[in-house]
Amino acid sequence: MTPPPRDVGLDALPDVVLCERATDGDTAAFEVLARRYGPMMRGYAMRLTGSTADADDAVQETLIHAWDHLADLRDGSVVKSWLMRICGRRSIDIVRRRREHADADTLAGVPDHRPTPESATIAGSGLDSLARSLEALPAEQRQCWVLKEMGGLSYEEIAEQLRISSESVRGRLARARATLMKDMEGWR
Amino acid sequence: MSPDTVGLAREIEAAVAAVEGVVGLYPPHSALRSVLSAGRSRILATDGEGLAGLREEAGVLVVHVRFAGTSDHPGPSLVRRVAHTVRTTLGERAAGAEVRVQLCAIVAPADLPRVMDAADQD
Amino acid sequence: MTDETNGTDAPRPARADSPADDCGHSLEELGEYLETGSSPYAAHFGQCPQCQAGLASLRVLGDLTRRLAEEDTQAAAASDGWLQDILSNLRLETRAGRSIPVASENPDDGLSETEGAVVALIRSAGDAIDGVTIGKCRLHGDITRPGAPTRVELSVTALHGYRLPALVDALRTSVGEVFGLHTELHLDGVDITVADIVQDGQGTAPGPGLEEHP
Repeated sequence: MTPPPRDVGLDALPDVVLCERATDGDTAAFEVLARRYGPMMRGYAMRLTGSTADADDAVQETLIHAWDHLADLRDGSVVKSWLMRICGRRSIDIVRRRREHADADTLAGVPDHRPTPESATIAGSGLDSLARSLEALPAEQRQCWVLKEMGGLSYEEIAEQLRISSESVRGRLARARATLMKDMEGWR
Repeated sequence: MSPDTVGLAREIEAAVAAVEGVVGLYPPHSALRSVLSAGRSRILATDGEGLAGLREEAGVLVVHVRFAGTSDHPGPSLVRRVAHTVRTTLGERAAGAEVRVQLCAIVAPADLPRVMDAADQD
Repeated sequence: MTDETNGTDAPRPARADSPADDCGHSLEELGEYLETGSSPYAAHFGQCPQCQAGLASLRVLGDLTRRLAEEDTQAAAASDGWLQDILSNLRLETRAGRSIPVASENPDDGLSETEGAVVALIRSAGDAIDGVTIGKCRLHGDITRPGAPTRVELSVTALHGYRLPALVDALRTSVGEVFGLHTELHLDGVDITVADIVQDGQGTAPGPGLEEHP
């Protein structure tokens, strides 16, 4: 065995270089990107979909889409927000698909109470309470809140992703905010 | 494919996989996605359908082979050796047949165990 | 400050008629002030106890939301079996790119190599040189024609402490050998850009943007 060459390891490379290599077909570079941002995407997708299985699907779809379309990304330094954006869109699509299959009676406004498994481990200091309050929100409000506060999207971007008006986004966010604030008074 | 053709395709797969410097075959027509597996047999892709594509077009037999080779064998001559092996295997059916061979990945021999390990996890 | 729990998707009514014991500003207005740092009511927010309390609560909610996202991320990173499953499907993927012709003994043969195979090979040859990590690697030229004149474009990250001219020479030699051995194209030149110099394989130093041509 020869000693390992002294090189800049893939893990230490900036996003731009990893994107260049992945665009050229280097799966190892793509894997580093996936490890760098996969956990963040999964957490985001879990809050958006309310389910780990759906979140995993969203992340997988995001990574496959990213692999196929990396060449379209002109500036590799924004790959993180690019991935988060795709992941948000995929998560919303998955929820929409699931709803289209569900009974029409169980549609909008009904909170889905399935807790995310990880929420049990987020103990203390208000985080678990916030997690519960978020999960208790109607899905449409929770999605707006998560897209805005965790995804950093603007009202217009949220409106486009959810296919609703900016005014509706504004209304849903206001209600989510009011509910969360009220809940917070209870657990602080 | 007729049973006859399927048998011939299997023969071609085995012959190509046995060529020195060939480490794997890809399905001929599907996109190159998630295809490498089963390292032990030196045939990396076994996705149900055959790895050597055989079809007849207006009476002409067309053979498609896509493969991965090791970097210690020069790519172009390896491609020619694989094409030659295909023709030899075709025997009398080689006359007038079209042989399409593509080298899709060139792997350093030192990286092979890693590729095999990764494939074995599937 | 007013509560909007009963709001609907419709635009809310003007707040001129807010009750006297309410200063009339919504959580939304406070939220936008927090986000943008500016508001026509900034002066009022600064001295209204109700709005001050509202701002404080909004800040706490914002902090908690951010920390929840961080916790989610850490939880996902701690158990990465899910990611392994996803990546095992992608790991052995290749990009084909264009088809590079290979000469044949038989006129009925169609022999080729994929551009992706050659690019990956050049990249690993470059990576094998001490002090160099390849970034971009592209083939320029009409490589779908036999013997086409071709230039290889490389951008590299170099490890601090290596002599750049020696690195670039070694890289050019190695790429030339690999290219000559594994393709039947005509190599016109290797264009190398040192995009970045990095200390110890860790953080990034400002890149000198050196261009080297043969």
